[in-house]
Amino acid sequence: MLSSNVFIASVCVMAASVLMTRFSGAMIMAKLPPTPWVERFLNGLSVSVIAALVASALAQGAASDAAAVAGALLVMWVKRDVVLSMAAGMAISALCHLAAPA
Amino acid sequence: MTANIAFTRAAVFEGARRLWAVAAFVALFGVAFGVAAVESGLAPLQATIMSAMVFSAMAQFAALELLQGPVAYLSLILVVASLSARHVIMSAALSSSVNQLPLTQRLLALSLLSDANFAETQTALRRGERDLGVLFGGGLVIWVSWVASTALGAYGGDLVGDPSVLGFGAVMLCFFAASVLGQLRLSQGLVWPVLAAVLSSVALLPVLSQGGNVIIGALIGGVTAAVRDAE
Repeated sequence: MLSSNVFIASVCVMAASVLMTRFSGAMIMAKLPPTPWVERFLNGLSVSVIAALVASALAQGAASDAAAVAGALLVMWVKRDVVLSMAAGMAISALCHLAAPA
Repeated sequence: MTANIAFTRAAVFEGARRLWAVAAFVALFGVAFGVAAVESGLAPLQATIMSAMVFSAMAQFAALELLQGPVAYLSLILVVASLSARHVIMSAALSSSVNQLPLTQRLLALSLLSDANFAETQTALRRGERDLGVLFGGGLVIWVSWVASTALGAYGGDLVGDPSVLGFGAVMLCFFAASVLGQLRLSQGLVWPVLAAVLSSVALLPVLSQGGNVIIGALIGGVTAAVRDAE
């Protein structure tokens, strides 16, 4: 077990690092002139970061993850309900695990 | 995204209400983290404090490795910062609205920024909503769930077991994918930036470390949006 001093120092270092990433984007943008180009860039950036996160995870994940996401997208397309969409993904995920446990 | 950005208590509750289901799923990861943290040698209280103060699943799981033996603080900073570097992008993406708030509200709104409440807030802003209370409220309900479930896993891991064996990791991906689809419905011009981000992040996987490809992919998506609409 870590000594409590080392633990406290480590957690403070981690918390400060994560908080800096949360604050810094908005702080940096406050210094830049809000041109139409920058606004369009941020508009595209905001949806792209989540899309890239999903694509990257799926590319490295199991086929069952891709099946779950495909099912969730289908439900989202038809029902327009995020919670329902997650429930569908969870059901598919569980079925895949029952069929072929890792 | 201009004018009249607010930060109200009503929107904080609304944000929490919208993300309760996500928070429930996050609890599965929280329990898994609590179990893993105790297995790696942290005391249950230490695991819980870490979740409360850091509030970043990827950074915390990675840190468990680094907290074995003597702690190299520089490595800790680099690993934690690079694993949550995508928050810089999210924070920048929210800048045109969040920077209209007074400083204390701005810091409060961003303090619990995570993937899920960012995705939800971005969809809300595209719908025309103007209250960043939803960002903080969404973060708060996830934070409560993350901390409580870490404690559950850390103190009662023997009883509850490790839920990650159930394979529910895909459920968060489902939420994010659904949120992207929701945003595409609201602004169809974003299809090309999203495609560019998806293709480039996957193509860069072999050459960039985990996370780096997401950031470059997001930047490419942003540039695609800026260049395309300028034509």
